[in-house]
Amino acid sequence: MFKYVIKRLLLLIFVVIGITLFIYLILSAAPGDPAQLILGMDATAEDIAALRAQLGLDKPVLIQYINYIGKVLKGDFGTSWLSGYNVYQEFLRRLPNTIALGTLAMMFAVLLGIPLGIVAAIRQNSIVDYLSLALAVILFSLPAFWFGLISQLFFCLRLGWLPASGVGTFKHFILPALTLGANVLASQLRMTRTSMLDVIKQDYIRTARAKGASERRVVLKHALRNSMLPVVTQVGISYASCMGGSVVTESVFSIPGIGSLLINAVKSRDIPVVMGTIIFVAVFVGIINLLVDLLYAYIDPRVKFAE
Amino acid sequence: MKKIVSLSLAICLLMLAATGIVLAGKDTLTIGTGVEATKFFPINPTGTNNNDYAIALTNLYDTLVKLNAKGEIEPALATSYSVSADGLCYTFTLREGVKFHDGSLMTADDVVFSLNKSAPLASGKALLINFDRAEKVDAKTVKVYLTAPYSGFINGIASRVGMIVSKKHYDKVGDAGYEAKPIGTGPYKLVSVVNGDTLTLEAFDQYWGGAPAIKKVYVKLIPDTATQIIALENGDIDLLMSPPISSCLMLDTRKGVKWVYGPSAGRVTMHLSTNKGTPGHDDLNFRRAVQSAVNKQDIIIGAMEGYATQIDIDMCPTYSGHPEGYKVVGYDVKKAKEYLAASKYKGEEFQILVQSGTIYEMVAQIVQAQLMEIGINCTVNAVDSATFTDLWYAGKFGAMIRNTNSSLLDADGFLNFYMATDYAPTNNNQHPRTKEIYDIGLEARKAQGEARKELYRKAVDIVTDEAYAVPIFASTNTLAYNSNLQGVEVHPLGTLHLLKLSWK
Repeated sequence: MFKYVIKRLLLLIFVVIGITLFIYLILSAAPGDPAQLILGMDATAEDIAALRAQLGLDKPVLIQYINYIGKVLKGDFGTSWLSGYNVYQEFLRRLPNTIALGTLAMMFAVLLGIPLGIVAAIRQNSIVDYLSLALAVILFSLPAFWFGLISQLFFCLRLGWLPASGVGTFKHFILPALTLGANVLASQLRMTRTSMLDVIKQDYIRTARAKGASERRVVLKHALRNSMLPVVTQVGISYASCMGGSVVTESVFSIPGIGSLLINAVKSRDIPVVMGTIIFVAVFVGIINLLVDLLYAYIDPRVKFAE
Repeated sequence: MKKIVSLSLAICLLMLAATGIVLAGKDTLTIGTGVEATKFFPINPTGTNNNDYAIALTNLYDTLVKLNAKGEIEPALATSYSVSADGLCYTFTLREGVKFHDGSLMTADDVVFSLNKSAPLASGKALLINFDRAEKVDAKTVKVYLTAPYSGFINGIASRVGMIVSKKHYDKVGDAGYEAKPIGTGPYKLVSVVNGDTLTLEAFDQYWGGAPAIKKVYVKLIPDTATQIIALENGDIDLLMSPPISSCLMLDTRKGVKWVYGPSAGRVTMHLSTNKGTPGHDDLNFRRAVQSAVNKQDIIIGAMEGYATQIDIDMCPTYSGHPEGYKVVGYDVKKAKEYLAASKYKGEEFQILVQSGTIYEMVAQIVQAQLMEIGINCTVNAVDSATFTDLWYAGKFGAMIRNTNSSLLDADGFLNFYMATDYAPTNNNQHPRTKEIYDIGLEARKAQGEARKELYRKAVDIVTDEAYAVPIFASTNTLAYNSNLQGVEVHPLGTLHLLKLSWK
């Protein structure tokens, strides 16, 4: 297993190089000259040319990329072209907000979605099943910005229970986590239900029942563990996507996280910030995926890693 | 599984604990804004972005004279000033006993250093027009010499490029150091900046104009406009910068919050391209058809809920040097159709470039509908700000709609679209008569009083005759705030003077 982990981590280096090269090429091809954006409309052609040379933008794209990666390998992620902050430190400062938001959202989705999915499966075609289906459809089809806004109106303005924006206390994270988790909850619920239905129709479940095992034991001991593999995969993917993909939620609730950092940097063509953030997110997603794969072996001992 | 759940719960709680900020009480003020201030040294060679609108610069620094909320010049670091008869020399008498945030006294050397350093920078060249040099006469007198007279010059001194910095501090720390630890003579000191989150200002009790009533100010970044309004109603913030008019109108029915509006230094204008390959190229009839087909009142009602002033030249009525008796082309569909019939237009795409997600995108959509009504195949190209700038500077549009601010609040601002020298926005957007308009503009810079207004009238009449631009409305600035807050005034540059604010 140790060998497998090392192999996967080495593979991650190539994944990161591939992703960063791809992003760098796209950014270079996108309209908008960073030097012009930094200096503003009053800048003369000479001012702009001088800044382009200073930022290395006058060199061919591939050379720019190689120079950048060279610095990254030495641990220098650079500073923001626009605001001058250190990219690495800024990322570390914002990471706790995004992790807190993502983790709370996932906990909400998993702790509600999986049990509801199990109940819906074992009580198939009952009122609980139909209600859970309705809940999943509603949560899945609500756009995050709308759900966020409506929850702000209700919980912040009408009831006055929760703050509408920013970070600081646990209360600040409740609504954003519900908003971000709503969609994941819906997919967890449906995924668990489908997976459970597949498993409880298997022969060994019938055998367990025939042997006189209690319904509780059949569900929790025999069915649940076997139905968890696809659910765990889904949890891993959703958690990883929370890292870079919670842009809308972070924007609606004014959370200074990774998503808002990335989106603002893309808008202002702040290449060091975009690249640095992408590298961190890619590594994080790679590690989450690896952990999910390792978790497979724990859930299903039949899974073996190719060494 | 249990272990995993409890571990993630523990991590999550730890993270939450690590992100604490102090919440503002009522002896403090929390401001919500959608625009983040990123630069705090007004004369940084790498630019200051759109810091006209940033609350930080306005309150950290002072200028020799300042522009008040009514758009008038009033004394600040200079108690008085005089202009020589030939308009080439401005003499400023400095206020005594003014202190920088580090406790040191402001001197004539600081003033001379600040202005001489600012003028050659990109923003200095644009705002300190005709500036030659600043010289110290004695400890309390500074003279500023111009290469040619320019009657709007004093507004440049009152703008961000005229902010006075400490020479001693600069000599010690340089550009980057000043940016990191800004020191001004303004009523507030910069305490901390948390990117993407909160900027904290603290009252400077030794301020020459008296200690500010509000001791701490938190400026919170809230990008989403709907969240901004909820945060204000909820009490998360006490004051909101520049909310859209439509949001303000909703506040009319709410208790505990108020909103105010006033004229802005910005005007929204549609600029037509005469570049080759665009419908406006070498086709005055087409451009006139567009000019006559735009119903400005409908746009003002549709996009601004009626809270804006229609303009017929590319200047706000509040600008100094604003001419009178200029030509006006009104809304006339019949005439527009006649012009279009007489034009070379054969149904080609006429693309309006606009920045997406702004109120101007809505303006563009209304214009699109109005132009389609007379048979123009009009499309809207709404793009992000970086792409917008790129396409605009490259001259790749049929028409372009934007809000242009004049930091000088002066008629001269309109020349930005008719520059015959090296200037990024106009390098690829030259009209056949740009040089003629530019030359009149240069002459107007030297002229005074009525003669100056007459020159601007001539210049804007060429723009109207040639239909190079369709000016639509002078913008409106807004502020929404907790009704217990007093002294709230809308500033034409969209900024806010915190010194005037206090709690009831």
